[in-house]
Amino acid sequence: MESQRINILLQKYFEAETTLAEENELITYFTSGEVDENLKMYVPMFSGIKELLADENPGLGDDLMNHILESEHREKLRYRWMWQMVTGVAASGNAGCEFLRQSKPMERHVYRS
Amino acid sequence: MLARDFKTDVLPISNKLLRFALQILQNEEEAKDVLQDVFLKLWQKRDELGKVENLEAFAIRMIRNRCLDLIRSRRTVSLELVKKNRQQEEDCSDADYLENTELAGLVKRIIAELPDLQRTVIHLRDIEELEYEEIAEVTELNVNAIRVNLSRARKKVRDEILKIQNYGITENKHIAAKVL
Repeated sequence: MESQRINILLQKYFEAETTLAEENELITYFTSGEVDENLKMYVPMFSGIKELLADENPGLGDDLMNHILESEHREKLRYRWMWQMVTGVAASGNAGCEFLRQSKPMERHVYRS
Repeated sequence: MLARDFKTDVLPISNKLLRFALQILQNEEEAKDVLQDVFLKLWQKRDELGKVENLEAFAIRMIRNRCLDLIRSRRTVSLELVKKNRQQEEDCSDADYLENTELAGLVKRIIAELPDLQRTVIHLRDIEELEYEEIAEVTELNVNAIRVNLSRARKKVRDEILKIQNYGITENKHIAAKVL
């Protein structure tokens, strides 16, 4: 009786007409260890799919968050370095202008004399 | 979106996204790079993520686009890599899988050899358990086209596994006949 239902579900599955619940039912049946002899040929397919479903790396989320925070930190350092460069250039520019401004009256004085 | 929400809503789908990237690229290092890029972008745009209706489908589409870009650039830059992958595939024949008890590896390999759309659709449905509407959002196909591609993909996976099983039986009979 059950194998009849599974046969119908299989037909629907291969026509892409099953629901997710029905697909889970197929996986549960074919990985139960109690499969009808005539349907055993489908065991590898559904067992393989079940194994793929469970393929998880529990630390992946933490690794990604670390990568994100490190990238942000690097970016902040880069901006800080750029800001220091800009302010450094501006400061030396100012100092240069100030030097010229102060030296000009002396030059004028020299020319006059 | 707050950093706390990002951790609870976005980070848990990372395994799903990595599996999908791996399925497309068939290269763990590249898949992880793509995943990191996409997560960094999601993090930088976290203030706008609240407006996204289906975050999972949105992120999967980002992964798919990024992977396809990478494949395109890979094709234009390096033919060597293609040759290398082909050689590896040839070295790893179906007969090896008869001795391989890891069925996930077998199914994964058969799915990897499917055409792009069939591969994407079967992965999203059978491994990531997405609804048809969500797959439509990722692939920008209509539900009918998705069903057609999924049906073809499932039948091909079934036929390949049956072919390998039958080959195993024939081989075993051949060995048994030799022994007798």
